[in-house]
Amino acid sequence: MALPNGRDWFGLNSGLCIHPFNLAKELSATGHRQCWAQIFDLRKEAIQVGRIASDAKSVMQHAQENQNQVETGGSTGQPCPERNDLTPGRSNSPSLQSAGEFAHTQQADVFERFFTLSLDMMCVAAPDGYFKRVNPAFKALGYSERELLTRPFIGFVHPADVNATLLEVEKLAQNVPSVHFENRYRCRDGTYRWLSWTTAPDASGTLYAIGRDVTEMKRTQDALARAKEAADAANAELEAFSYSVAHDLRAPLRSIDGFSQALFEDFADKLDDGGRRHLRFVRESAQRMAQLIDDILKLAHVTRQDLVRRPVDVSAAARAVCVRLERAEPDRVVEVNIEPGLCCQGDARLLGVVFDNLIGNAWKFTSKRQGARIDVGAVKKGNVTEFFVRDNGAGFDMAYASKLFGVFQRLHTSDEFEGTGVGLATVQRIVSRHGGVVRAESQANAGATFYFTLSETETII
Amino acid sequence: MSTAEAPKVILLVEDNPMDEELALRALKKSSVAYTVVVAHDGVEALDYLFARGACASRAPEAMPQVILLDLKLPRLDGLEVLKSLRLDERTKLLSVVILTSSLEEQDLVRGYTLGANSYVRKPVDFVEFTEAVKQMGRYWLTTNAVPPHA
Repeated sequence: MALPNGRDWFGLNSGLCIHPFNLAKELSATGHRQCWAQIFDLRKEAIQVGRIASDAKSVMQHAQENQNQVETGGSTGQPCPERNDLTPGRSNSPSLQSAGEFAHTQQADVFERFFTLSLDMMCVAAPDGYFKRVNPAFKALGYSERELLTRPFIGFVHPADVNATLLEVEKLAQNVPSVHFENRYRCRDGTYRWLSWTTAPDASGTLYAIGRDVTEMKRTQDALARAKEAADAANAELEAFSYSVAHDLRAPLRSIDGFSQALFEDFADKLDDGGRRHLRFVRESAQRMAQLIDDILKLAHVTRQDLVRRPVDVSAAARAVCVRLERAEPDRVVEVNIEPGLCCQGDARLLGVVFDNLIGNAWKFTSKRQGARIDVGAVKKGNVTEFFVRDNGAGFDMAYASKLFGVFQRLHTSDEFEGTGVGLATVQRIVSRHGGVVRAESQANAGATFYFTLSETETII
Repeated sequence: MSTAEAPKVILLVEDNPMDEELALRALKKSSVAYTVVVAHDGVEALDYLFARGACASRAPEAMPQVILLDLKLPRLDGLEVLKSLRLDERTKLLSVVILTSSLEEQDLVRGYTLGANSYVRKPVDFVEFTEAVKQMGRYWLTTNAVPPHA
């Protein structure tokens, strides 16, 4: 194809090697837009032909030399554009003037140091499809420098990634920098590593790239995804199991309670006080077991639920619980003080459960106190907010504080205060799912204060 | 001329014989006149409702005033029964009360989505259960109005 300026397609005859993409830019500049399509269709062939031209040139140059040993340098060695089995070595020959384009100068000293030091791979690639310089980090692939420089870089790419890589190179030819482009490179031992490339072209079409080995990261991401899948599957199974358990365990309890009551009613005249008392205990036990089942289910449910973090009006949540308690027992007189404007980043629903339990406990354990009082507020500890629920009720002996949050653990008898011992275990589970901590302080008969944080800042994400 | 009103029919769909006996016992305590028909699984329930199979000779006017439907049943479960009867012209307007052990949200949602009129969780406490059934009986057999049967 003849060009307006008289040069032929790749300047083969004139000994020039013109990068086809630059050619395309030139043509567009001169208004030959109709050439675009043809040019990009021929891009691969162009690279191929361009390389042949360059090959021819360097073979001619070498042939004019006397014996030239070019060794693969250490970190400061100059790469050699070898195409055959010539033993590589260092050379100061003027024939390596093409490599001289990439020679380091005074100003490039800084570049050289970092180039050498970098843990990431750094390289320069020419429009002909070969690496011209590679830094020592490339050793990770297992090839010698010479091997890296004497093969088109596309040859190292995993077959499945070749097309995508070529497309990326084409984008670069249009001066669009490429960021975080991932592909797989084959190592000398045949394994593949995932590399993430950030590449920028210069005006001549030379590519400057940094490649980061992301194989481990991808492996970790994969493992994480699989672990999450497994966790989700386990949760679903647990869900089905709990549902079944709850349903199936309740039926016999209903029978125990129901027929005890039937016995009580139908044979009242045949039963004395002792008999009636036995039946009462049977019924109470069945009902208590039902309550335990419900509480365990709630606890299990709390663990399984997805945590949705949003801004939550903590004061309002606390107030809602208090209103509910007041409605259920309108005869009780309790002074309630809730600090206004409390808020946090957390799951509103689960926070409601926390207050249900903490304020519910405060309410319960002040039931025998004249002048019962419940306070809800917050204190700042550094950049973490600690919320608290304080009451002046029965309190507990600090000696047993470590048992407070155990499942089914209680510090009072059922005669003193009813309960199943699951409430605080539930609170602890919710709080720790938020990344926070719950603790309590108390003095027997002088009330108790429960503190909890819902801090994200303490959680490493 | 006055027609003696036939006692209203309650269809109790319950597979557990002990739960059945306790439900019947509780119903007896409500002071409303009624007849109870018991189906022990979903298939029996639909046979009765569609007057087919074993119940082919069922009097057509003996359609239930209310259906007390357990969810966990052998062969055809409660929700499938509900789906079927809501699809059929003859039964789609019948009052259905889901009476079950489960208070799981998914059951509540599915029940109401399929067209249940009410959802009551069977308590373990029998005294509580009796009270609930008494209230239900009064409500569905007396207070609640139903469209005339086709």
